[in-house]
Amino acid sequence: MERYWDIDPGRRITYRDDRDYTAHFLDLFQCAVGDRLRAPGGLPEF
Amino acid sequence: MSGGLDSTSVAAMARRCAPRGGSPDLFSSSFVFPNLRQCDERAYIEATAEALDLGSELVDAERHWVLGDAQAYQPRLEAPLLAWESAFREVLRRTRSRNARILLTGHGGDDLMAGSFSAYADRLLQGDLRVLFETFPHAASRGRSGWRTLYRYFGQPLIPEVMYRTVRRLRGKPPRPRIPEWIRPEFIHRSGLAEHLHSVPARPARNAAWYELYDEVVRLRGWERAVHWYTSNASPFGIEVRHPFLDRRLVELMLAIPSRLRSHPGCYKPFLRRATDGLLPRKPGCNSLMQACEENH
Repeated sequence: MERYWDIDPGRRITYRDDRDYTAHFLDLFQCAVGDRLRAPGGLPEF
Repeated sequence: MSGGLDSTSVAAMARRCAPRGGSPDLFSSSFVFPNLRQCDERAYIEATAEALDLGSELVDAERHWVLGDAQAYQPRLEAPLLAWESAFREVLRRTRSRNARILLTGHGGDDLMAGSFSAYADRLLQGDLRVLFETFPHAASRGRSGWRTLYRYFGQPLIPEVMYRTVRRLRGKPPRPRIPEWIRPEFIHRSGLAEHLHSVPARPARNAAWYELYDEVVRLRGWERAVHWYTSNASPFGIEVRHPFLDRRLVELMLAIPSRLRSHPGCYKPFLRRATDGLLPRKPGCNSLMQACEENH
């Protein structure tokens, strides 16, 4: 068995403005929810 | 969808992803507690469902006690947790009756977004003195002494274990047992619990909040048992339960952002609260979501 993914412990994201962190989160959160709404026969568009 | 932040955030984002009148058709399922008023979040649930234009299934959890039918709800080795199977299966029955096949949860939100006390000490070690101006006024507003605050927020996370034990002894307190006394000695012996705890490496003093989150979400994966529980209950109904907060991309992001964003004195889940401000309906009776969190925590 081979590990194919792990967290990169050294990865850091730095923005000048704190609002950029929440915007980044919202983008990913939208993907996380949207991907999980998908079902055979109907794909949400957003 | 409870009255909490995690599941409501998922519901609000699902509505954004699936506009009204489109596909898939969305509805929320919630537990309500007509007699246990302190647990009942019906007012916020109904206000949220209306604001998001969601159909709403309200399940009276008090009519579905898990101990009400001992034969139907047996602990299983794969998922020994017996909690609210009975009420959850009622949710699944109603979900199935609507011909829905997917159920989204807010599970994982606590692990990912709750933050940590260690973040304050981390910030101090990094030279961020603003943390002092955030913690002390908050402690004062709660009537806590300055020394107690200093110890709780900064002393306890930073001082070595040996010194910690010495301080407790000097204060006349017995050393805190590493294994709680309510765990029976024969179980400790049989399971090798003491040896296991001894083998767990101590977390580094620096970036302790990062290591806490990493342990919680990536290394120990306590959420896996709950995911198995959801799956094993929902599969017989032909329903797939999905958990957006356990998305790998979100986990990576939360581990990569500064830990100061995830913890703020007096505010529970401050980052999620800020991120979803504008996405979530306002809590009834509160001017803002931040106000609601200050009142509740």
